[in-house]
Amino acid sequence: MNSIINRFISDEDLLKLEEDPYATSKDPIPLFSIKLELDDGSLEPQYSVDPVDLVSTIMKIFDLGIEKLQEIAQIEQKLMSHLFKKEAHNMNLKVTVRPRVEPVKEDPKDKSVLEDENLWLWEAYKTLRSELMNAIYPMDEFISCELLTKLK
Amino acid sequence: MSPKKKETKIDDNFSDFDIEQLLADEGIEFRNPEKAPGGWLPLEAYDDESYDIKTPSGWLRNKVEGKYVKARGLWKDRDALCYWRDILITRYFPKSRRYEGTFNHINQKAKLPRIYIMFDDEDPRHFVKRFKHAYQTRLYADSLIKYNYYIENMPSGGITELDHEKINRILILTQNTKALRGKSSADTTLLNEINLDFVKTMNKIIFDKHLKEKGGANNLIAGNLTLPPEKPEELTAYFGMITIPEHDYPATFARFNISTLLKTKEVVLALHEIKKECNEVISRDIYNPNINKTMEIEDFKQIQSSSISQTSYYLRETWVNKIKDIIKTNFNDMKEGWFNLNETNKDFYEIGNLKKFLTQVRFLMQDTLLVLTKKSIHRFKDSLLTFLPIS
Repeated sequence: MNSIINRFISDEDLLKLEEDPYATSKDPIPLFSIKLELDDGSLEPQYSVDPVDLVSTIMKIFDLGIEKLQEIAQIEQKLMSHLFKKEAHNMNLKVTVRPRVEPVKEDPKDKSVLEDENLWLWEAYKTLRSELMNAIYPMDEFISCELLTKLK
Repeated sequence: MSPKKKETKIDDNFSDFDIEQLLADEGIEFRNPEKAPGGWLPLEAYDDESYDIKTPSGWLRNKVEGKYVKARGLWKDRDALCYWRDILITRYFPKSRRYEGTFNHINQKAKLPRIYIMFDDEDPRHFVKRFKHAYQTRLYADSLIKYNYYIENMPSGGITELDHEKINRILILTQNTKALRGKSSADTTLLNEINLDFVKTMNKIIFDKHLKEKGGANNLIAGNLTLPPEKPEELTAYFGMITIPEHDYPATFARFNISTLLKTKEVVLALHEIKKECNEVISRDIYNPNINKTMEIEDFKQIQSSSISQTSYYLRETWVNKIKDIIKTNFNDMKEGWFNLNETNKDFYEIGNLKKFLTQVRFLMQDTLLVLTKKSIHRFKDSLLTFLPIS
């Protein structure tokens, strides 16, 4: 017999549960504060940080977090170091690595093709990067907008 | 066999099936949920998830253009009538166990439990089985609630209570301990409780008899109750012990001993403590997702780098050394044999149980790191996306 787990919750609790801490809002606070600067003698304002650099900085941090996990030694090496003197440098724990090219996906027609175990990371990276790139497009439009042209 | 296992081969062309027709053929009232028997109870509470052939992330894996998955959802109109309509599912909320999507025909967002969503890749016949199961179980639950309510509220006056002989027998049995002998302070409450149970049981017998004799839809007291079918009474075992076929116990025991590591106290305790340390790691974060104010890019870099360094240091030094100490402490007394940490012969080590144990610990640690990475990446990504305006 199938066991049923009663997961009934009140509407009030349901609302609390669904309070997504990361829910996007129409008017969110900005993440970065960037200045508009005028170089000496120039009439064209520039951002203090290139918008593309913002994206690349975030993506570098993304990679750094993943890469730092590659330095954790295996317990075997720590405990039985007298048996693993030669291999000492190569005995780190296997961790997630971000693929540099698009990884293989599962093929329902060919069962011999297995999905790359790091596909999820590739997709997370791709999604974050494309969302951030979309978010910085309006910055270019802003700097070349009519108001600033008039200011010039 | 679970319903999931039955569903091994599915037909790809499901568009020919009309879900509304299939449900109607099974006698399921979905159009007006309030009219359905037991409709006051939430149907999702009776949904058996073992019918599902994929996990929520499995269903959402193949999104069209990476945005949505096509499905049919139960949509309620202004008159509270329900219709199965096309819905584009975008995400899943694991805590509330709801899918979020947009109904195509009116461009309206909705959060629905799984029982009200049939994915386009799903066999409608299988989904109807699932829906019917939940519907039927809810019906039983509704009837059982009513049935028990009637019995609970039947008058107890005039019903025979426990006689003196039975009460004496209970008192002798319950007070037959050193601590309770001669003390009668708890007797009255206890006896009242037992008496109440006794009266309820008597009432139940009367009610069952009434249902049996005058049951059916026209029963003025109980109405139309659909109680779950009674379980057939199992035959009492003739023997106190179970007879098992002849077998080679020593050989089976030896095979089991070779296959398992969990045969010594030290291994069990060590694995338990290691798992505790791994759980501690999972509760951490690689990045700092708690950003709630505007900052300079350099400050952001600083905050994230510091969080990454702290976690990385903890994992490299504290975590690994703690696990090392746990193993050393637990295996300290095993100077000889298969778990000897001072083994100097590599060939012996390669075939020994210590190697198997350390491999198991390695897998445990790698799994912990994978869970930590997945959680951290998603939290980092989501925390940044909150700063993006809805496009």
